Amino acid sequence: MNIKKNLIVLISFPILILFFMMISNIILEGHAGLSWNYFVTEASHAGRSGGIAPIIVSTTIIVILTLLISTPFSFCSALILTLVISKNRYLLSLFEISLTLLSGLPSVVFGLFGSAFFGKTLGFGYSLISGALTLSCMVLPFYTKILHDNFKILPREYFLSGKALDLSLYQFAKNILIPLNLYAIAAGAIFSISRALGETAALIFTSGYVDRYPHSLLDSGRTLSIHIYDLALNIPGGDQAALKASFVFLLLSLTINFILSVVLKNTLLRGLQ
Amino acid sequence: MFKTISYIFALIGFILPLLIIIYLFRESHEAINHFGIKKFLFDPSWYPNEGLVGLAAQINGSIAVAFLSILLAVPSSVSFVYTNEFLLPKKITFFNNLGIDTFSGIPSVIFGLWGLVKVVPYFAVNHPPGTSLLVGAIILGMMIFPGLVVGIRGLIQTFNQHYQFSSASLNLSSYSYFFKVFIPANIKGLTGVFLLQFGRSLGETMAVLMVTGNVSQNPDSLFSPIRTLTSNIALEMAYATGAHRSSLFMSGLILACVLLLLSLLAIFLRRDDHEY
Amino acid sequence: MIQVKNYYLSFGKKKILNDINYQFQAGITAIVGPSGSGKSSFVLSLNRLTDLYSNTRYSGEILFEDNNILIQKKNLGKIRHAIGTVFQKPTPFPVSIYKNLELSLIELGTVEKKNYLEKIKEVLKKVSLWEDVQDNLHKSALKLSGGQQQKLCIARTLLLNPKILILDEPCSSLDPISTLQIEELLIQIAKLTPVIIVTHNLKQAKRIAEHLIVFGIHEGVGSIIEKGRSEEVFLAPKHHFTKTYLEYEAF
Repeated sequence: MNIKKNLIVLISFPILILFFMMISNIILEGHAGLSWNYFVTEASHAGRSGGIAPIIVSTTIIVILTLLISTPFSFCSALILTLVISKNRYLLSLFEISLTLLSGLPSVVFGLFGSAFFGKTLGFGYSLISGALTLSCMVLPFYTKILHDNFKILPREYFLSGKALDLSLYQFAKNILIPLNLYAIAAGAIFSISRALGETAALIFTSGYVDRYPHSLLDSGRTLSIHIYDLALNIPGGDQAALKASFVFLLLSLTINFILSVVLKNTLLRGLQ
Repeated sequence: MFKTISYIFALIGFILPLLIIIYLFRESHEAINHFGIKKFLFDPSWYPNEGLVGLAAQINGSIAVAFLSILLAVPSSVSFVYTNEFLLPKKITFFNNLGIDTFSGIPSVIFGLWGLVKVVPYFAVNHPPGTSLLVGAIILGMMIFPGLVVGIRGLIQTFNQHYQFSSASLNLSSYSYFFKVFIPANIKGLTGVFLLQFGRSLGETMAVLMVTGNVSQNPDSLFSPIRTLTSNIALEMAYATGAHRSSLFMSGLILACVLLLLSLLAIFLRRDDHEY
Repeated sequence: MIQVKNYYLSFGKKKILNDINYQFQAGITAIVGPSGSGKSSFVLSLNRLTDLYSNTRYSGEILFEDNNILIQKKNLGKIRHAIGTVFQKPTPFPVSIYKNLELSLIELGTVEKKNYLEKIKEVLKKVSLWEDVQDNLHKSALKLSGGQQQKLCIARTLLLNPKILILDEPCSSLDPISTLQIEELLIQIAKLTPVIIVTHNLKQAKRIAEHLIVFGIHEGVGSIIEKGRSEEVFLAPKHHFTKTYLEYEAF
């Protein structure tokens, strides 16, 4: 009996150990030579030296754009789901399943779609806006789900009082719905940021590889994740630079994720899947 | 006014999945006409410039690496949830769970990079070239581990709500409770969790791209380099044109369909839970 | 026998029980009282199941076999085997009937595997369930009716050879026929093993109990209002509250 238990405990930890090895490797080897300069200079020698300033700019723009686009779409979708579609059970199930299916699609598929639709059909080509639009598509089902989950447990009284006071939908949303769901909105937003930062496959076909400063939203630009990918795979000897960028990237994403976990716990403990 | 805009926004959000499928079909049309579906799925020769677009090697590669990653990660995640929730003191449990939640957000490039610069060289010593099916599975196993843990944890927490008291009143050992009651009673829910993460492994691009070597061949050993459907798309989209590009869209369509099916299965399995 | 001395209980800041004193005796003891008077919390305290709630705090003594179980840190399992509990909602595990009972035998540890079926048959006969399920031992326990499930729960507790059996409103979700069957079962059990039953049903208490404890809310906290031999309390309740409660419930 004890042998069984010991075995079980033993196999619980190898993967976690790998995680720790990964994180410590990146921290130990990536923090060397990090200075303030790194964040404000441009890349040189195809990224092997120099800094990541233009990449930070591109990344920030894409993230902000994604937030700006996905928030209204998700909010309105959740709003309509709760107020209109909930009247009909089958319709509600249909939409909820549709959202779940969308959330399961792999990022390459979004990349393909983005390059075909936003890149070709709408003519945005390889640009920051293409990337942001694609990312918004990816983020939409999760953001909508978080908001919808929180909306639907709001007591009926809020909706009834809104009707009683003859509030317009806008006033209802602004004065009642939003203030009561700040945590959920924040959670969705932080999740979008986290997703936008972490994505690579969806962006290589839509926002491109260019590592100079972007001059407009229609210009191409690379994000931090693409930079690391490029350095690792395409640039011989780029490993060190990749590790350096990864260190920054890792710290950033761990922080954001940590914040997200905390915020999520303050909503209704509804997870993302 | 706001109302109309809301409706329009919501509508766009809801037709998105349909739009995506339509576009995939549209772009892969050319390739289907040119080569025919059978050839795609069963011919392992991928030389698009010479008109050979058999995806069999990539399909096998994707399935092999995803399946292997599940094999590696599932026993570990189940044991981990047991150990964490039942054997360790509450404070450590909380800390571990926080860690897992945070790890689940680490971007895939970082896994890929670490795999490339640390894990691959380790295997390259005895099994060149190092980039291989096995490393891909290890890295993917790491990536899906948090998802598995969170999924299983959700199931045991719901289960506890109903049965914790009964179990305590009989002084059931935690081993009996978890392995003889919880798991058999939740086979469907657990399968749903595993399917979901299998789907995630299938759809992962960057990490596998960086560590599997990208050779279009059928995986014949753990240490052979392979190429997955996803890496195929990622590597060749940049310069593909015409029918070549169209075939990449086709493989995207295949991926999308498979993942949609898996998600649907997982949804139905979750719904099928018995009432307590 | 269990003896409770000066027992106070709170969950976090909320006080649940105030200065409970009682000496349990042989036979069936019924605990009655309005909702929220702490009856369930009281009986769950008797084998420290209250520990499963968060922020449980208590003081006083609960003596069982000369030990104060409140200060015991290890071997709570032994206490819970000796003081068995059956809950209000039947909660057989979502596995087969056979498995449900087998789990108890495994935990007991004193029966050899080849004797399992025999022991299971024995206890199922005791709770009048054997006839119904003998051909379906490997079907899921959830397929049984409410009354059958509850009998199963009693059976799995009996397999652990408890010295005292506690039931928390075991019949409140059951039909009248199942209720009567379980009452008969309890009377049989009580011949050898003291039974403590929390119930809302005064008629039930009248039917089966030798001793009666009346709980009530006093100054916002649960307390014992009156206690004694059940016929005496029913015929001549001393406390004003008991009088009103008994009349009110006895429509």
